[in-house]
This record gives sequence, C-alpha cells and structure tokens, in this order.
Amino acid sequence: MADPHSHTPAPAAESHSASPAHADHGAHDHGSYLHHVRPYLIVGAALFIFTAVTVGLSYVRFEEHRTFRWVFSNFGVQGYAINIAIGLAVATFKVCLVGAWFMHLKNEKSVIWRPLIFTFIFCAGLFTLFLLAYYDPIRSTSHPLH
Amino acid sequence: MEIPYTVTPRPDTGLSNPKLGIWLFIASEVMLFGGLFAGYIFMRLGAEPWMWPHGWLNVPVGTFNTFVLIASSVTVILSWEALKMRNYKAFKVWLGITWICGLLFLGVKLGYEWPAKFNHFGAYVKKEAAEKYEAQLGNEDVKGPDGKVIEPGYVTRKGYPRLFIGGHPKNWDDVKNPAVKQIVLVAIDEENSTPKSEEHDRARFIPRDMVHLHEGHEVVLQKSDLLYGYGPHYPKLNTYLACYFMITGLHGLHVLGGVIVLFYFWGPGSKMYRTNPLQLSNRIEVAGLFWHLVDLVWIFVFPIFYLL
Repeated sequence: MADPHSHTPAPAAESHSASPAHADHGAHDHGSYLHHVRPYLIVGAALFIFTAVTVGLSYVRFEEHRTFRWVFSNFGVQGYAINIAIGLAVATFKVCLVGAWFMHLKNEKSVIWRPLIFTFIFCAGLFTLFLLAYYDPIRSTSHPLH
Repeated sequence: MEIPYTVTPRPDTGLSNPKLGIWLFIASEVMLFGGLFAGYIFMRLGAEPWMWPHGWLNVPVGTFNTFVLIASSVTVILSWEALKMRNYKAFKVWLGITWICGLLFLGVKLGYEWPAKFNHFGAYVKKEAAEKYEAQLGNEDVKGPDGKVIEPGYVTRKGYPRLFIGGHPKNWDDVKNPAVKQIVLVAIDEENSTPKSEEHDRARFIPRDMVHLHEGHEVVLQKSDLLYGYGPHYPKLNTYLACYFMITGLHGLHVLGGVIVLFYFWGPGSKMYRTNPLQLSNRIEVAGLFWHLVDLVWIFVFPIFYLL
C-alpha cells in the first residue's frame, strides 16, 4: 500500500468530540501525542493492577475473619458470598474506569447518558428480581439433587 | 446517495448518527449480558458450596487473557488518538496490535481453554452407589481405635456427600458406546485422588494436573452407577458448564466481530485516510466503543467464572 502520508489532507476538527482531548491538532507532535494519551496509559495500568487485586482477593477467606463472621451469622449469607460481592465491586470499579476514560462517558452528552441510565435501571431491576427469588424461593419447585 | 450525518453532528442530537447508533447498540448489549450475569450469579449464590465447581478453569490463563483484552482496549484508543493527530503510521501500528490481541484472545480460548474441557471426563455418581467409590469421594470420616475422628470426611465438613469424579478414560469409545457397561479411568482429578484434603474446597491459582494411575489401580466406573450426562465437560454435564460455554461463547462471537471490523479498518478500510480522514477517525471511534464493550463484558466474565 502506498504511503498515505503523501496525501495527508488538511486537518479538520471533529465537531462531535466530547472532550477537549479529542480536538484535532493536525500535527505530528510527538510530545503532544504523549500528553494526550497519558491518561489512557495510566487508566490501562490501573486496570492491570486491579485485575491482579481481583485475583488476589478471590483467595482471601473472608469467612474466617471476625467481622465477616458477624455478617454471616446475622444476615444468613455464606462465606463465599462476600468474595462474590467484593469481586463484583472491583469489577464494577474497573468497568467505571473503562466507561469514564476509554469510552469518554465522563464528558459525554446527555443524549447518550439518558438511555444509558435507563439501561442500568432495567439491569438493576433484573438483579432485584433474582434477589427477590433468592430470598423467597418457591419451595415446591426446589428438589434435592438425588 | 449520501448518507447524512456520518461525520457532522445532527442538529437535534448533537451527535453523528454512527455514534448515537453505537451507543444505543451498547445499551442493548448491556441489557443482554446484564440479564445473563444476573441469572448466573444468583444460580451461583443459590448453589451449595460443594455443588459449584472450583478450579475447573485455568486462572493464570484467564488472567493472561484479561491482560490481553485490557491492553487491546488501550491500543485501540491510542490508534484513534494517533489518527486524530494525523499520525497514520502510529494509527496503523496501534490498530494492528489491537486486532492481533483480539486474535490472541480467541486463540487461547478456542485453541486451549475450550478443547481442554472437551478432553476431560466427568461423572456424577448416584447417591446410593457413592459408597463403592469412597476412595475417590472421601465422604466418610476416618476414625481412630478410640472412635474419635482423625480425618473428617466430606460429609462432615460440608453436610453433603461429594458425588463427582473427574479424570481421563482409557478409551473414549467406551464412554459413548451404550453396549459397554463400564468406564476405566487411567487418570483422575487431584481432588478425587486425595478426597479428604480441605485444600480442594477452594480454587487453586496454579491448577494441578490429573493424577495418573498405575496399571491395575485404575478406577472402574459402572455406567449404571452414574447419573445421565456423564462424559466430556460439555454444557450438558452441569449448569456451571452450560453457563460458561454460553456466556464465553457469546462474548467470543463479539470478539470475532470486533476483530473482523478492526482488521478491515486496519487493512482495506484505511485507504479512506487519503480521501476523508475525518470519517475514518469517526469509524475508528465507533469501532473502538464496541471494542471497549467487549473488554468490559470480559471484566465481569473473568471473576465470576474463573475466581468465584
């Protein structure tokens, strides 16, 4: 393929860009490029670190800790439920990082935010339905394995 | 015919049509995966501790794949930034790395993780036949001469009997052939080899290999002692595998779609740079948003299937 640099067109601003960082600079400014991408590199590094944290936390036996034993005895949850809750909390934080920085939601227009808010409300509703069924199961449909 | 507002924003929405479209698509995808995750997580919570498999997936391999997808999320945005700054060379390099990362992810999934499941045998023993396989199930307590429990069995620890035996059969044809009444295992899972060890109650970071059995010490499973569904770790073996294959398969299809689109923009589609770099930049942004969705879905898939 021929080098398209020979046809480099005049730069034009992407008017729909959500963030000042998206402004078109139209120049091969290496320093400026590094300046623009530095937040993404930092967020990427944070995602790597929190992935390692997620793996590490999954091996912690929270049920053996005094504080969590109190939770288990008072709320009737089993030991691994704490691992699941903490694992999901870390994953949610990582997803927020991806959404806010990589997908630029932190500077996005309300026309995008509004349908997304409804999406998350419906998702939360789905989880709530399962939660209600979890705490109030229909006993006649529950059979032992054998 | 020229499609309107592919580059310039619509006056009423303030966004170009592709960008609004991809966000509506992402919203629908969040609903799709949200429902699947909700169903899976509450099945997991509702299962007794002994019923949910631990350590069936390779955590280091899953962690590696997570790093690969996160890295590709970073590189796709670096390629977009490079394109916006009219640095074509950097754009090509970063986008090339992105789709290669996608292929690497799929290669690990389809070339190693899934086939490993298809080459592994598993079976649930009927409760009434469990005593015959006590050496592999370890349900009963070991008592000393004074009657005191020296080593508690699985039933004492968990309140339920362990009924699962996994390993590798001597002959796979015996598994499939209904005329053959028994299956000989020449290797068994670590947790069936030392079934009373409490170490098996939690997943291990470095998975152990199967324990190979010497000739004359193989485990012989009578098919009449097994629940229907025994065989390779196919989705039908249990709910966990059904959820695993369905959700990772659906995610894998998204990865494949993303790789095809990114490869096109990296190859033939990049010619648009000569005529309309602004539109190419918008296309990369939209494709990048989809690729980030693929990444964030995996961010949930990894802990719930591999770690929890």
